[in-house]
Amino acid sequence: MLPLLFMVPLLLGGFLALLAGASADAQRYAKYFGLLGSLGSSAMVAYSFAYQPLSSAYAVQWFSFLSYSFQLNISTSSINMLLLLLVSIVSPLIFWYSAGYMDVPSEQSRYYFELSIFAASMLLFAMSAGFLTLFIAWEGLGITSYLLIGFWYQRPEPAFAGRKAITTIIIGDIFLLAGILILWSSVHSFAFSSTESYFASLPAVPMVLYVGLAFILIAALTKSAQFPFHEWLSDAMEGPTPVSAFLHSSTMVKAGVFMVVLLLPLYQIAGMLDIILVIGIITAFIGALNAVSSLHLKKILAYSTIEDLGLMFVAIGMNALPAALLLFVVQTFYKALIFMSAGTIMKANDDVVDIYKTRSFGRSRGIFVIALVGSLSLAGIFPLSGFFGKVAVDAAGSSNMIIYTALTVLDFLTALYIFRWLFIPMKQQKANHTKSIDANYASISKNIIIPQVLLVIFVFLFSAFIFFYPAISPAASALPGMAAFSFINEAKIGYYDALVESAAAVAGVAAAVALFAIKANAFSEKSAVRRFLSVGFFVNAFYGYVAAGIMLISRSIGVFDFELNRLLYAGGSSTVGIGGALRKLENGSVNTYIIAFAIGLVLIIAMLVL
Amino acid sequence: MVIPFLLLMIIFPAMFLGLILALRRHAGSLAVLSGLVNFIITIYILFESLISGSADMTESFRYIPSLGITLDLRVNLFILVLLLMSSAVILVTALSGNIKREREVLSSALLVLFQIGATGLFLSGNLFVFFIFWDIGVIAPFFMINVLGSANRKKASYKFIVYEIFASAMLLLGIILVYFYSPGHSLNLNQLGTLALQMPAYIQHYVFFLFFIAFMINMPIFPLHSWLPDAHTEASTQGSMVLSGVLTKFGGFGMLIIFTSFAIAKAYAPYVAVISAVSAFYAVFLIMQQTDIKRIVAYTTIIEMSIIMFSITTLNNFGVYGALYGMLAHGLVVAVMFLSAGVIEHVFFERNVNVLRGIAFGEKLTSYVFLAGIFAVTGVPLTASFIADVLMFIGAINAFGYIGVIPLFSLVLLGGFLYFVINRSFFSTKEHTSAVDFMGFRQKAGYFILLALILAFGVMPFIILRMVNYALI
Repeated sequence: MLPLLFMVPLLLGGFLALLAGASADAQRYAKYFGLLGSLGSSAMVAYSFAYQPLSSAYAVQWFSFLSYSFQLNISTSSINMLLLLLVSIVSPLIFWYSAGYMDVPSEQSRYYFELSIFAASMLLFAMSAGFLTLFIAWEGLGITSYLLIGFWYQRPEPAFAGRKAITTIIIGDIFLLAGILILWSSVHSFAFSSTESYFASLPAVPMVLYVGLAFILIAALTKSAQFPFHEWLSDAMEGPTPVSAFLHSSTMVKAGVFMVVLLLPLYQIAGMLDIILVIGIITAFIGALNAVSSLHLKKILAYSTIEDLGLMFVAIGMNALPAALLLFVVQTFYKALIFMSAGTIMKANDDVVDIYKTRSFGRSRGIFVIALVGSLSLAGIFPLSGFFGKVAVDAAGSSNMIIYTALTVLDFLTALYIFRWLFIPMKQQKANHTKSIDANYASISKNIIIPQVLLVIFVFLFSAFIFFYPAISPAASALPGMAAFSFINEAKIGYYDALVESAAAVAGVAAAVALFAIKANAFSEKSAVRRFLSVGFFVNAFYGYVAAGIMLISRSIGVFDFELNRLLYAGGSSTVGIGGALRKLENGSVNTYIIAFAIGLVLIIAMLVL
Repeated sequence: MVIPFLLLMIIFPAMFLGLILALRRHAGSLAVLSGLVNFIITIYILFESLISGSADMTESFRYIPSLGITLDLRVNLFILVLLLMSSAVILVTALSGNIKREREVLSSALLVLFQIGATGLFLSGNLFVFFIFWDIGVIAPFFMINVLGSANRKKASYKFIVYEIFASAMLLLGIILVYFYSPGHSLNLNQLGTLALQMPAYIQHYVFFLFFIAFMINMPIFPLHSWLPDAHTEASTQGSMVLSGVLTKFGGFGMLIIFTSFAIAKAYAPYVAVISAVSAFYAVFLIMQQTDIKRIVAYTTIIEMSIIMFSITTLNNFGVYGALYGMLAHGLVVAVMFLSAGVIEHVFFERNVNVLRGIAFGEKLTSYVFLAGIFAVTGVPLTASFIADVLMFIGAINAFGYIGVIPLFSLVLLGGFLYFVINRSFFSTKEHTSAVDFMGFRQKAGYFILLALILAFGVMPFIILRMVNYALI
């Protein structure tokens, strides 16, 4: 159970941060506790990566009931190691960035406590190899993300966003629990490996597997913000920006995808990949089109995440796991980077989020360069790492012409919306120019900039790593953890796919230049197209109908309950009424008694005679 | 000489009750002491049974020899778990339930009286003793509502007592039937199953039906639930805590007994399962109409108890012990939620969630405790409810196939609504809610004890489940 120790520094840091909240003076140390805890965890993962052989068998019994053992299964097999590594690379950067970003002194300890628990849950999630471990981590993520999204509950919007998130997440939680228990009842084990071997050994696929996997898939859709559960993610932008960066890059939203990846053999057995594919395509289009139309600095990026996750589901649905994993990894870096630069822009613009009202850089253009690197990677321009992920997914879809066309259109849209995001504030540079924004940019803390610079370096390094991986992999295999990246060799990246993808991306950038860099007001607020896209495809309206339906049922049951109560009261009062009527017989008048006695006597005699 | 621990668990509270009424001073502390004594004895019995591997104990005393009735007390695993829960809840209720510290003599005396009733009921070894303590356990909360309750208390208390007296009558009728038709006029609860088999078949059905109605009212299950929201809402904080933490478990305990000992229960189980599933969803739709924070917590009791009833009807080990664990978890969780609701009422002088806004500004700790209570209600891992949910629904799936998970989905609606309440009234902008008072150290201690126990039974379920394994393997 050694890998469980990875969580310990983070948990320790989190609880120390919480304790620091006891006095207002000690709160400023909270960020150090958080950062140190996260560095400690990352160091342990790095050690494991470098020296420990990848292994897949750790199990400890939590409790036993009758002859059944309820085990916590964890593993550091290649796929688990991959996510562990991503989380531990990103999380110290997020803590560092937070140290510069979260500057409200009174909320420090709460923030770092919640963030640490969140990161620790994600580590647990990354190493889970059984449903029980997975579910514990899953709920930990759900709860802490709710607290973090609604962190500024003093304002109505974040509180609402937090509620929307938790309402969606709790649907997933219960579905996941139901699915897990349904599968357990057949397999009698929570370990993924024994679940797979159990169902693989059956001659026919039982109904139980379909039902269980469908429930688990619904849970994955809620967590990974897939259609029709995607709306919470864009609202979740009300959370602090470091949280958004963390949520969208390596944690939380990746959990759903990762769970499906872990359970991919089961989905293959059940033949449910087509469902995943269809949902992925729908979601990717919704995400991309919403991103094209949104005016919100962070929501554009959120819809972009929804699109990326949709693309991962498409790759999984095409049964191309390496492609999905490649996008999974590269998306982590560019999304963390681009969210951090969005946070910088927000910070300098006093939290103005309308892209037409912000100014994307001050006197120094460094921040713009950082955002540019992120955008280029996101758009999939060679040689940045995003390119490899996009091409791998395209190649995975190349066996089906419809899917391939759709993916190419998505590549075009991606480049279009991300450069729209980049160009519009740039074009407004003069219009939105004020001295205070310049001053804000000048006073941006180094703690905000340095993690971004590190991430830029990571993006370049990782691009080179992917490009040269076939060449360096024999030498790199000295590190045992390097086997986690062996999927790169399996991902098919053809020249033809690369050409098509690049053409689409460049066309998207060109369109963005033409529409937004030269002619700034194209596609602005009043456009009919934008208005059509911005209604979010009526998903929110649909949620509204569901809620209204539930309330209607609730009201009618309320009426029914009231009537039921009245009925019971009527029963009670009729008893009282009978008592009152009978009471009149016992009025103490001797005459009445004698008459009654006589009548009774006559009746008895009559009965005896007859 | 063997120390009669079980009898002492009734005698000590009786002594404390006498002391409270005689001294009329230090009443609150005496009640706490009474709770503490029983809690310690329960912990002692738990340790003993963990060491010896069996929780079974019996004690028997002469009582009414002419009728062949003895004062039998017993402990088994069901009873030990329920005792653990009830003694913890009663201890915390005594410690922190009386937030305003007013009418201490009366409230403490009623609480200790209820403690006698609850402890005696769980410990009772025959149906006669069971019935006596059942009625004691019903009378004490009646006064907690009628005298100590809030504005609408008279109506609520009469509603409560009418329902409960009806349940008592059914119970008594059933007990009389058992007495007359069982061989040797035995009322022994340990042998209820074998006794039942020796009765004529139609009497078995009568007895089962009478007991079932009595326990159904007490639990409560739709359509006989309507006493509960009124009673829980109007009772004093102490009253709400013990009513929903402990009193509803009388019914649950009774259901456990009749469903595990009557052979004919198998025929009724599917119907009861449907009723309890309907009950869970019925209550979850009703909860959405509520605005009173205590009423909201009261409705969660109906939902949870319905799910527990549903789980008992599975009649397999997972379901039955899951239900037991569910009662343990629910007792603790609902007590902490009622305590925090009581604190909110005390601090803000308001219970309407439409009026309350930004509770977190006035009462940060209580808000987080209430949130933790919601986590526990919705079965988040590492709370005791999660273990209960896992066991209960594995049992349900084993018994009914995968449609057995349907009642679990009532938790989606429940969670959705509770987060809505939290979002609107607790963690929201501060509008027109202002604190008029503050809570004391005792309430914090109460939160701590209950939350620690919820966490402990969630992280270390093997304490209880180990003994289940001892008992069954």
